[in-house]
Amino acid sequence: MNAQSSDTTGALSPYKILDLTDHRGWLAGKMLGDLGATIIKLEPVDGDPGRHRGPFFKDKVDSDNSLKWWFFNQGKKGISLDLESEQGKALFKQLVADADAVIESFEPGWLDSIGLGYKALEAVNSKIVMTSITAFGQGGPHAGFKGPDLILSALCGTMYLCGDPERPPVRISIPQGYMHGAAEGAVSTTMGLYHARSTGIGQHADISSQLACSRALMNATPFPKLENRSLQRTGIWTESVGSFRRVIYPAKDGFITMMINGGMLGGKSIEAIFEWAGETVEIPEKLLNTDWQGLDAAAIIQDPAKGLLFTELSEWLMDFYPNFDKETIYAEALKRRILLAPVSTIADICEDEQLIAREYFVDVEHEGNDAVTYPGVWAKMSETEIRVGARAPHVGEHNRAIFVDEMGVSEVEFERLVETRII
Amino acid sequence: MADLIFKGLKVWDMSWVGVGPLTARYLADNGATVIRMDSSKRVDILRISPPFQDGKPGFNNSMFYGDFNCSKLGLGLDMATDEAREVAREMAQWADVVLESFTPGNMAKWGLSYEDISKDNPGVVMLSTCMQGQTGPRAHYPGFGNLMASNSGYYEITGWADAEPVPVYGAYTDFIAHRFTTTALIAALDHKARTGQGQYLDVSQFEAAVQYFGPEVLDYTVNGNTPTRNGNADPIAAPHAAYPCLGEDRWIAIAVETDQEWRIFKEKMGNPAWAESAKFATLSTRKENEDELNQQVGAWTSAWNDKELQYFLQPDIAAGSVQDQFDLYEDAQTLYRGYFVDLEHSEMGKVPYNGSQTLFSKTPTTLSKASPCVGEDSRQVLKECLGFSDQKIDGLVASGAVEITGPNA
Repeated sequence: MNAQSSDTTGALSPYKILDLTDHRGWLAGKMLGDLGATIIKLEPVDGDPGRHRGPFFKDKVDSDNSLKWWFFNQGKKGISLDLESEQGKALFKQLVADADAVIESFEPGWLDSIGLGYKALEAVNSKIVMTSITAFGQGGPHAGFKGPDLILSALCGTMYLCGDPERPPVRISIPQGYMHGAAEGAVSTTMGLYHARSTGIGQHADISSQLACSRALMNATPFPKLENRSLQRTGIWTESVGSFRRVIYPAKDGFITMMINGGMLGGKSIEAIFEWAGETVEIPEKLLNTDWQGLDAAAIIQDPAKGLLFTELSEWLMDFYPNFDKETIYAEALKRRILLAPVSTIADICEDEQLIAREYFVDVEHEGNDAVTYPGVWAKMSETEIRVGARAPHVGEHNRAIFVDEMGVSEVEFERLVETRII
Repeated sequence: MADLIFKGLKVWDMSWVGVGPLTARYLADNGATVIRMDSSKRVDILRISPPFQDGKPGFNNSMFYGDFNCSKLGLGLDMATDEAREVAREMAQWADVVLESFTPGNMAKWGLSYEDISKDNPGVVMLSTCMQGQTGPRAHYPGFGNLMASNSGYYEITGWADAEPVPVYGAYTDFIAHRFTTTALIAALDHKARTGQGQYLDVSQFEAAVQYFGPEVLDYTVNGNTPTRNGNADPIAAPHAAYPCLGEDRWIAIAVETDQEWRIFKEKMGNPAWAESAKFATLSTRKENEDELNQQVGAWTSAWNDKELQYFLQPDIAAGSVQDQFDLYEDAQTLYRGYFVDLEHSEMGKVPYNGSQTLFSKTPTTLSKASPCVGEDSRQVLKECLGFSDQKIDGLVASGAVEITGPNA
């Protein structure tokens, strides 16, 4: 544990964490920093390659303008260091000696190849927790495979279950794979710190982003072993005991999601829709007179023809919902306890009344510009602060503060390190 | 080998469905004693959801429930009874950690709010998680992770550009939120271990899910841009899609990110004449002619077995079979990491559990037992945690407050 006092009172405020990740692992350090840990983000002297990933501020492509960089590196201190130089390695080990954890996302084996793998760091600081976030993990037959998001989506099994069955399977269009891997990295780093604090024993946490993504298969993985089958993708439809129901419905200004089901809970939702719809439109007698609460899975198994009622209801809803916009439908749903949700866009989310009521969005100051609105704290903790970090650092912004003020590098030496591009 | 990370930690898991039980599972698989509350009167919806052993529905036969609750002991309580609520309150006094995921207000109704519990157990760390948080206009609106995935933007960005949005499989946001809840909870435990101070945590699954969209929120707030779905396309890579292979519904995902990779990929395809066209010479021309590019690449892949093609292209070109659930059990990397763990369940027999996505070098995560039947361990738990006598337990069982099913019934 780092004994230096901190100006925050976050749950992890005693800890100092060195963040060596690129865009694949940034989220881990952000989560731990939000909880109060001091995060020192190390970049190559030319800057983190992830700085070139868009979107960009005012759509201007510049390594200081990446909004991805901004969000996931807020609250971190930024230093630059050439890890491949002898002096860079020595300085890094000095940092490790005084740190609690290192998070990295290099290709497996690269840190070992330059003499900075876990064993080398453990020799410097036996309490160090090292977390490695990669596509497939540190060892094994696929460890050296290329694993961008699309490939993780394919290999983890989620892609197979997503999309129109008449067309190729799809991934989620905004990359998810390394987000899951990095979030798993945050979990494992806190576990490692918790353990090291009480035992003095550090360790290496080796994360597979592929498997972190597989967790999102929810209940799908045991199917082959229990029911000797694999689930298939069903697109905008869902199947329940042989009857098909739409999940996505058009609204006047977009789409909504509703999973129609019988039984007590689902039946109540359907009755509430009829109550609302009855105020303005004619509802077919056949649908109105159906006992939806009684129409659970067991009832359909007994009389499969009854399953078709759900398909008919889906078709009727296809005509009903487009009379209203998403906001109206959701408001009625809340009032009447109909279980559905808007298909929200990012714009909808930014204007969402619940998020606003909980003061989720916060303004972060950026020098020379107006404050920028960020998603803020993701948990409310009664006794320790979850913080909204300051804007992300420029390349090497805190070099002097860390190397000179904290580590005691002399001014002359500091200038030489800058000149020789060690930092 | 060191002791497991949470050895000695006592957890009263009153949560149900997804996020809460998965959070408690992280603690259970890493050495904590986790007691999971259950009831067949107010049954966890996962217990009536597939897959079921041999396809036969039954509360104790669902691996949807099972997979989220291994390494835990089961205590069956009918919370409609006063005696069961008293037992739940005593468990909360026993515990270091209390988890719950009911609709806000439910716990207070039972005398189990944080204020109630912490009065006599001031060090307790309590986590509440629900769809939209404990406060705000929609705090009490029920839901589940499928709807939350729609609500928090994931459906809008999934599917083809020329068609409606499609649902992501499952209760997607549960599998985002559970890592935020777990990280915050362990941080709170760390704080408690250092200071003795417990606390209360309120995690909104909505708020956790939107964290992944941080850059997109900024892109909207500063640039006014709103992303939407775009199939498998990527602005900085082409080819970048799922291509058909031999067999029914078999596909391979291929991502070519640089012009150098494109040259290698052309070689792998045997340098076909079509690929030499100026239409495909650079990333920007490949993006302009992406439909034709995908058609040509697909014509080549369709003569291949997806696994063979994956190994033919990797590690030079990013490629991966679009794996179904059978494939996951044969994936060489998944096998290498020992991901799936077979455990002997009291009624289902040998069943496979998802294992740990992290390999710890000194405290390997250990799935200590299969998931419990409803109240399977009630007697043991009431004796060991609360010191109840057999007579007292028999009385509670007879009155219906405590439930025991499975082999110990």
